[in-house]
Amino acid sequence: MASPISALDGYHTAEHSNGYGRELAIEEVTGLQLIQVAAWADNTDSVEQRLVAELGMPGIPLPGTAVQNGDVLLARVEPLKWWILNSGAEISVPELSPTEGCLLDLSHSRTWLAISGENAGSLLNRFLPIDLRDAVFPAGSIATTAFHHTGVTVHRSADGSYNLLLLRSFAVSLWQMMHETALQFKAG
Amino acid sequence: MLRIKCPFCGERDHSEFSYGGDGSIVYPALDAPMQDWVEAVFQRENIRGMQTETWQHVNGCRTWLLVERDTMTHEIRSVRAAHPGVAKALEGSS
Amino acid sequence: MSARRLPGGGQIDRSRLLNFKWDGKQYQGYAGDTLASALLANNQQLIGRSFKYHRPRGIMSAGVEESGAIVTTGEGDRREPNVKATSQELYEGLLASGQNAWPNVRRDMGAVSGWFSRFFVAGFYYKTFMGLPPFEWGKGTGIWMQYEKLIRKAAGMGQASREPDPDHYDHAHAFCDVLVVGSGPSGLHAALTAARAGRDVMLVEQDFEIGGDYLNQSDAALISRRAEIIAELEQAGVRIMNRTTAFGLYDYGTAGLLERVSDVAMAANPHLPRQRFWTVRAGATLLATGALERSVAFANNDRPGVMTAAAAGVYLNRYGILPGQQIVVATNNDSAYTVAAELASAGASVELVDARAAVSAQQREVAALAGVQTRYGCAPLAVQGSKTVQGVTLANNGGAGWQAGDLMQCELLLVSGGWSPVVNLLSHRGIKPQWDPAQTCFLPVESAENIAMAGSAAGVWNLAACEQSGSAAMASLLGLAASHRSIVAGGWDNPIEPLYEVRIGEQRVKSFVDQQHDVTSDDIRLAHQEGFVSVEHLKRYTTLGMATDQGKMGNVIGMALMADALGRDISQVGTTTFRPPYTPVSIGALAGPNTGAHFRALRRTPMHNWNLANGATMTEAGLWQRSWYHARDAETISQAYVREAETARSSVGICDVSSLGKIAVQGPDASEFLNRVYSNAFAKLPVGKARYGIMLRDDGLVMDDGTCWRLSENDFLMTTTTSNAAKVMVWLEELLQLRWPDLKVHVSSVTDQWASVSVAGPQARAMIAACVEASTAVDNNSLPFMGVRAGKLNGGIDCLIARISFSGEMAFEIFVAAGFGPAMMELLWAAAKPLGGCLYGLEALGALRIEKGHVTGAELDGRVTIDDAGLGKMASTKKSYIGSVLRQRPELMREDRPRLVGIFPKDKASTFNAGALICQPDKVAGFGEGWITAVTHSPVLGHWIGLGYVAGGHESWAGRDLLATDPVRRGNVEIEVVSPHMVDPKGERMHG
Repeated sequence: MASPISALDGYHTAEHSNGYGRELAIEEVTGLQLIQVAAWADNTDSVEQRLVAELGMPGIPLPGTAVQNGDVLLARVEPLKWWILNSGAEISVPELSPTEGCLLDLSHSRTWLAISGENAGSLLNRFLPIDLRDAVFPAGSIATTAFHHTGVTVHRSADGSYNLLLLRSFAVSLWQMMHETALQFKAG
Repeated sequence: MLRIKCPFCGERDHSEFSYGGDGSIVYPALDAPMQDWVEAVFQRENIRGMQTETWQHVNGCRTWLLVERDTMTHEIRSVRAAHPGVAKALEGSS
Repeated sequence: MSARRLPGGGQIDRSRLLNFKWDGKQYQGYAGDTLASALLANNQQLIGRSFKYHRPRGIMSAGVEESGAIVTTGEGDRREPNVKATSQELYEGLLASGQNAWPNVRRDMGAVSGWFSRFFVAGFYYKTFMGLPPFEWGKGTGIWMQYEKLIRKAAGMGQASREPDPDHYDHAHAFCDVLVVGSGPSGLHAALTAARAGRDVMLVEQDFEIGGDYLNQSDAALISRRAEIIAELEQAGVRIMNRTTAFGLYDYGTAGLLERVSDVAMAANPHLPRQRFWTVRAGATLLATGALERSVAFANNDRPGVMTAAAAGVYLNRYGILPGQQIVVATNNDSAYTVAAELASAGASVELVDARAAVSAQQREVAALAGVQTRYGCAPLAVQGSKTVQGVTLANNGGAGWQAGDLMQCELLLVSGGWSPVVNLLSHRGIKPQWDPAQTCFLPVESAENIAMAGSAAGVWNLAACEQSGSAAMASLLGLAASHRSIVAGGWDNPIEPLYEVRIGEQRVKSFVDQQHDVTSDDIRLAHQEGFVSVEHLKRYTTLGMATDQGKMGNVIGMALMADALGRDISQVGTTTFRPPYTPVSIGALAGPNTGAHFRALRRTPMHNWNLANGATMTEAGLWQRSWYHARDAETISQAYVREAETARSSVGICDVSSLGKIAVQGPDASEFLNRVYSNAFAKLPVGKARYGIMLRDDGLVMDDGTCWRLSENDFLMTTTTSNAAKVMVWLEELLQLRWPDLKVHVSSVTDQWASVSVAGPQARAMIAACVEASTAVDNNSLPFMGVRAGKLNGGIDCLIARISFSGEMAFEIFVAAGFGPAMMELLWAAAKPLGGCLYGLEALGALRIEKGHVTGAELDGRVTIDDAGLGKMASTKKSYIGSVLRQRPELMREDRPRLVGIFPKDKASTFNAGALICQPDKVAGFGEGWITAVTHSPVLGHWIGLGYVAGGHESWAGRDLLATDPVRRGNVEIEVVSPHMVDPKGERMHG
């Protein structure tokens, strides 16, 4: 079976891979499984608890914070919608009855970038109008915000790096802007 | 440059939101008389002071919000989710 | 005049000599100099020529209020006009030149305009509109069009480069607990208080050095205090940004900053932007923005060699320059005494004239100790000297007004008329400052927002008191203080006495109030005489305060003179509103990185690169790039799209349609929801079927069209037009959240999740059958017209196949997960080639749908009803839906409304343009009978065709001639209107 192709395929250059000193790197994470689970206003709690239990999560994902079990993240991205984000081997997802809610596979709709290094936050704040200071956006935080008038989702990993989910169709354009700006951080 | 406190996401820049329209309008039933629809679609008050508006957090949680904003000072007095069930669900969490 | 660099002293780095060019000649300065200080050190006096009168101008200050030493820096595409020499940091290789003068500032031919100055007073320009007397008296003017060209040429100051800006710019966002603007004594102490209280602090300073007024002191203790505070702030993690101007304050604690990256840094890293525009959100803001010294209006007060008094102190203590040997200091307040004394101690001969009758003994001591001669009740009346100051005639205040006194020789005249706190940023918040008669200035008032002012920005004149006020104001702002103590303005031993102008009788002299715009005190009286009595009119009529300094030096004098003319108090005259930016901001900085290719984010389909590799020429469709045509060999676009359309109708064509909006509509109430938003029936759409749908707006006009596929009982896939995708998504969310919260429906955008193609033509089915696995049947029974099936392409790629036709041919749409898009294309293309098939793009797609009379956004443009578009049968009479009521408004139901028609040229070799109007041959006027929405060459019919709207529809015009009228582009073409379904009107080809 054919392998799926990344939106960034054909756009990488050696310069992109070299990174920007030890303080900044932008890398793509492929093989994303992204499932959206949507519930109704009168059963958000029960669906959420089901997801937490069946995915083995340590707790409930409060708005703005993702919970994690291994390679799998669970986050409440809208009042009635959760995303299961999996960078590892494909998992099967809890089934829902129509009265419980709906499932939607969005695995191909996003491009995932990992941005790491001391200057990662500064680079992101060139574009994102949200507060990324450690005290305000610690590990586990997740937010959907605007990047050049498009919606992007940013998540803070346990190691302090950032995960950025871009709409696939915009990925090349935004990724190029990030690389061009990242050059500023190259020492000397 | 507004900062709007989305009940789900917290305080965010107005660049993440999109203005909707008059939040005080109650749209009639789909088969209501024509005059009701003319009123709802075409008649608007022009308010100096606090008014209720709809805004959507488009580059965020996509929630439609009812916002009380002062047209003279931009002061925002209140923000709540427009969907009553969602507003209630958000009271519980966070 | 003999300004010179002293052998020692100053904050400059004497170990780093810098070379620069001024008007073509080489000079030297030091690291830490500004261009102005370096010019002064080299005894350069005549730096500029004024705007209207081309009078010689020199350095009159040491800061952003500079209105005389305005120069052009750089050359070629880096040329920048109207740079204030006092703000320009000196760097190695700096190029600077005079402007607004020919051949140069020292000998300017433009000075002749000074001879006609009485005709060029304020407002002269408006008077020229009334007509040149006596020829045009009272009849308006035509001659004006001729001399307007001359006025334009004479107007303006420096000349901008016309070349594209070679530098790039950046944007950034920042958040902090406290933003402190200004790093002088009050700002540094305020930042320290906040840092010690554990707050996250940003400190911004427009200068390239941190320290503000600390840098202008001679006291070693103050100089080291500055260094200690900075060290502690850095240690505490305070973000200190020099070369960064806070240019505006906005709602909700938002500030706009402009950071200038130094030329040195840019040379080291060519990837750095020239400037960075920051948007900062601060929990609290403290403005320690200082105060600017005012001058006084008197005859020829604009001569090179007239400077504000404190500026001389800056040049002495910060830059180690003695700006003159023979100096007169004229003042109405205490602050000038220290400067006078320091200049005398540095070796100049200094005389001080004080407009006040007397001062305290202590004050007199300050002067006496340094050997400064003093006079009281005395002020400058007129400067002598035609190009630079040679002397000053004084005036004495005998009690009954000014009387001419004697002439004092000097080469440098320092003037202090008082101090104006920099309240601009606070004013941006709509807080009007209040006139304080005791301090003779506008003082800030308390704000309800989290903004405080400290230091001389709050009218505190004593340095030690400024330090304390910074700490106190911050403590108050952060709620650290037990009680709130207001800042007390003041700090002089002796009160200031207002002095705005020195004039005897009705003398006709040139005494300047706004030097950048050549506005004199006579201009202000003229404005009053002509009836412009409000301060807002005064500003706009005289242009007082409208130059790049925005009235920093002249506004108060202007207002005082207006108040005097009106016989009122300054507090009654008021002040104009300060608006951002505080100092000029380049357009480049505001644009940031969002220029050129990044002006808007570009959207690419999953097959973007594949299309390019297979001969596609791209075009823009909103934010998307779409294939326009796939030229073979040396085909033109016309040849390509005609071939593509013909191939699609005779064999098979493949078109990338991934950009269409796609929305997942899910939930038990999904069919009910769709039934309410579409005009046609959806409640009972069977599973596995797709249906074309029209959505109306509340007001009954058509919003969008698309298809909706029922994948399962509770799962629908809705497609929209490319350009309306976002709008429809927002609309559906609005309906579900605001109007029908009881419906259990979720909508989610899946535009990016799917790659999709349209496969059209008589061979389409056969071609697809060769691309799918055995289990996926695409025969007519398994996949009837408007049917939808899930299946697998060869190689196991999951897909959805729908039998939908936009082109009018036997056609299918195939959807696969986006990552498999290119693989799908490879598969399909390999099967199409042996059948003689082709790839087709937007142009051919357009030709195909126009032939069929299928509507798109060009026809559904927001002004038409469903009946206008010929789709009235899709307006269900059996249900209510969005728009169903208002679409029946009488005006929208009229029979003579424009209806969708097809258009043929009478002469089959002619063409016409989309956008042309349709008129009767004898009535080419107004809006005519309709308009043309889309045009193409029809491969099937062999001639040009179009779609459009004509009043009453094509039946009303059968056998009658019409014209396509296009007066702007190409004149009239004879046409006839026909049914819009110009090819295969019965739709037989789709249903085979």
